Amino acid sequence: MNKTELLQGTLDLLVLRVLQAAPMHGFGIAQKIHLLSADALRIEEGSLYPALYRMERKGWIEAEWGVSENNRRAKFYRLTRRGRQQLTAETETWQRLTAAVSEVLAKAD
Amino acid sequence: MGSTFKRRWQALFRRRDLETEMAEEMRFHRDAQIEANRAAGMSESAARAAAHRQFGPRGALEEAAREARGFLWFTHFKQDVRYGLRMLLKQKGFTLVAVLTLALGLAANMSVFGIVDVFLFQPLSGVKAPAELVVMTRDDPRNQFASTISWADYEDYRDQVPGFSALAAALFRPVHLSWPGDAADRNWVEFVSPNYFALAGTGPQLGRLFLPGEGEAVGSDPVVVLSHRYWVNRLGRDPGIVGRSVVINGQSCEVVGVAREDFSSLQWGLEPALWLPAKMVPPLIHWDPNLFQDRDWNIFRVTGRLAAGTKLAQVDAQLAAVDQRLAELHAAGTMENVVTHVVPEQRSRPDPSVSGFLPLAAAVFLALVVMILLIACANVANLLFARAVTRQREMGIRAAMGATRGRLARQLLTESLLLALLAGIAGWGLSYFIGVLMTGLAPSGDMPVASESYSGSVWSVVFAVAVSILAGLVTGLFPALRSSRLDLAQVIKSGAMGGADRKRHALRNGLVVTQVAFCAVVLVAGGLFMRSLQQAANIELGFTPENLAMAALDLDLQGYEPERGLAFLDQLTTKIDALPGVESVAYAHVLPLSTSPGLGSVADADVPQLDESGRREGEIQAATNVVDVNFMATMETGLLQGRAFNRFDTAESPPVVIINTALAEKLWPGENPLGRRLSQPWGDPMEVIGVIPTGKYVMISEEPRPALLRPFAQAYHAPITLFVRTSHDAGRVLPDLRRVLRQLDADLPIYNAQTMAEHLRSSAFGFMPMRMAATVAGAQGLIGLLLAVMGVYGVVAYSVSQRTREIGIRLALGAERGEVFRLVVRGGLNLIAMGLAIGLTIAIGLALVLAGLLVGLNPFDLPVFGGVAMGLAAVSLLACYLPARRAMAINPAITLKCE
Repeated sequence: MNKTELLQGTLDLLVLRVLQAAPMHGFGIAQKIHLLSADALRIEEGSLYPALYRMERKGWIEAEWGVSENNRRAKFYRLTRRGRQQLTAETETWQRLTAAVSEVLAKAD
Repeated sequence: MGSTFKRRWQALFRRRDLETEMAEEMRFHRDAQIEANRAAGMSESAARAAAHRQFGPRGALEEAAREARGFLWFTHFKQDVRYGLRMLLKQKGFTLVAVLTLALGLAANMSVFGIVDVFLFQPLSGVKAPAELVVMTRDDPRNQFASTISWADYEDYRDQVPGFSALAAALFRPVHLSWPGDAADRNWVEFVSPNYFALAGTGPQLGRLFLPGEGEAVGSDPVVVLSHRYWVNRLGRDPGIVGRSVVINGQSCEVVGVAREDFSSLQWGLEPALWLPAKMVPPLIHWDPNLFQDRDWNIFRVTGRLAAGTKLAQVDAQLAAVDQRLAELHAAGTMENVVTHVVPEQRSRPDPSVSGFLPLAAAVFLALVVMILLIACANVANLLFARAVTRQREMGIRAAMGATRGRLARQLLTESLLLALLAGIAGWGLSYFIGVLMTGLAPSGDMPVASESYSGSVWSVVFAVAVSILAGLVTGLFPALRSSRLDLAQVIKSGAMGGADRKRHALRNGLVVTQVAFCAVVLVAGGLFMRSLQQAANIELGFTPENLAMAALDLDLQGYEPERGLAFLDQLTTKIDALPGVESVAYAHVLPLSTSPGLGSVADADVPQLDESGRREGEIQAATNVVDVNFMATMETGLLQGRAFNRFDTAESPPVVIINTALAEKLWPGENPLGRRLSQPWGDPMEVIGVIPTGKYVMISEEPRPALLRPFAQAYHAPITLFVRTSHDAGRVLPDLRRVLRQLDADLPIYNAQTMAEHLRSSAFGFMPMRMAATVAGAQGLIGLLLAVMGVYGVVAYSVSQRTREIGIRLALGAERGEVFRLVVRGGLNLIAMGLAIGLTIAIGLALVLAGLLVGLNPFDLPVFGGVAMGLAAVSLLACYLPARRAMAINPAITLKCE
């Protein structure tokens, strides 16, 4: 599969943003990122779950067992207050970075 | 923060739950994926296969997930420990050598720290809040031992210094103790101010301690509190002891209680048999009651408890203010330039006047043993290196199986920590035996010294654990870092001999150089201590110590008045003189180099007095002794000018004195002292009738000290020491001496009955400190040498085994065996030469520090430096020789074939 490599730390940003909308289980997060990126971004389970556990340990998100759309027990992740702050900060950084990169790309000639 | 902690806590202890949860979460994800794939139109089996492919190998994801969750290290740690133990058990020879090597280094550390701990860290036992205790001391330019204070001054400080919540005075003195129906024993007791026990915050084991208001008036309360030790050892824990009476120096006193077991004294290291009120001093030891008013009768050791929140500097300032008022009350000039201050009790050991010296000595010895530990660590690191080479394949395979570099390093580190902990346990056992040996080196003497154990305090446990872990880290770190830096492909391809050999050689060689250097330093220190001991044996003592026996007795305490005492001594010396093997006998008030220095102030009697107190300008401190007419002949003091005392020097004849050259030069430089007059603060001026050579009086290491002798007939001082010159072995006369004394007075306790040689060897003021230092430093040197030789041998032997093939080729090409020998030895010699050069340079620096510690120590002692260099070189050569011989014996045909 031809996938776009994600920048280091970008995955965290995407996950946090998706969770800002609503609590979600791991599979749902991966699906949503996949759909929203118009199939361009594919999140490997091998990166997703370590990232989720890491962020849980840092206190950005918290987990709770709930029931999924098709009535199965699933672990739902929700943004914490600190996660929200982190999201704001990372979004800003991201926008500054992309703006800077576009600037260079546009004017380098 | 709290939730993070909670999660880690759960991660550790609810691991099984978390594992199940994780498995369930993964299962849900997989199933959802399969569902989605099917919804996208895949067949059942294709949907499954795609989902599994996407997930990858199951273990890897879960491993990564676990790591992210942060409890992986614990799982790994358990695995590492299990695996490490298995490896250590498998290689028993390696484990034994490594553990013993480290144990030696650790034992040396624990033993020396144990001693340092006793002196510097252990709080006073049985005392409430020991950190608040301070000892008062005075810096007096005229008197080195000015840490005692008069009773009158003590009362003023007690009442006028708000920085003390309490202040107690104590006087440590020998008395004759007898229980009804028993002969008297000589015992040391403490005469204390009534608030002594209250300040300590201790209570009675039995009966009661001193009551408020008790012991306030002179001679009013003959009450005694026994120490627990005395009660157990002498009275067999007699439960009915309270209320009984005991005779002290002929006076009956009542036992009111027994102190608690954990309390021995407010002064560190002392174990008095019992306590009496200070105001009982005049009736019991027949001193003038004026001692409580005379401000220059400085005999009490004063211990205080700081008021809450008071700083030392504040108390010092308050003391200075009191001192200004006290200067008026003292004899003119005596308080001039005197600074009274307090030191924390832990910094006052064994006595405030010499305590500055202790931390320095402790630091030097700790530095030396740390070096030994480092040598041991270097050896073990070397062993681990050698083993790491043989384990490279194992490491390579584990890396290929997916173990990370950090994981491999952690594994090796865990193994060396395990080694260090085993070594720590072995070292603990060893240091216990060293402690038993050390107790034999403790100072002897008449005073009871608390026999503290050299190990077992919390501090020394903390120290031992810390040092063991440190040793594990040091020995494990480098090998771990090196062997984890692997090139996998190369290792697996090339077999056992892979890896970056050049760098590893450099590191191993560096270790040998360091070892030889440290060993040189430790050996030089040991050598210097032994030299100073050897030189001390040649010190001019001022008398001949060989074939001299001694015994001490105190007629005052036994109630003899001067006339009866003199008659008794006459009779005694006549009888001893008649004993077989005795050449002559004499007696004197002061025993040189003992706990009673007998210092007094003197001045030229022909300079004007400062005031009516009898003090004069140019007053100096002199070691004062009172001796009988045979003293100079018996001790062989020598006589440079004038005459010795004779029987015509009596109480009725003009007072006379014999001085030493140091005193003559201080008072009358370049003049003839004979016929000059000397004055003491009390009594008539004395005429100088003789001059003797300067010897040693208070401490073996002292600078030439002024000293004087007075005739016994003119200055009766009842506590005396007998000196018996014998024709041969002085020890043989001691039983006869005791027998004669018993015949004359069966109740008279005698003490210090020993030969002069024994006294000098074991006295804390004689050779004991040097002997102790030389023993410890010598033992350290030997351990260091042993370890360094093992290290050199290991490296050279290893390099021979690595170069077997090269040597084989050289031999096959016609190299002489001698050349091969030189080739192998040269490698070792270069390292040794480098190590020696570095080590000797450091040693000179250390020697300069030591020179400040031990008087008479020459920091550039050629025999020591030369001897250490040559000895170390010779022994290291031997360590090179054995592997080199093996290299010479290599058979080229076999070597080349087998590779």
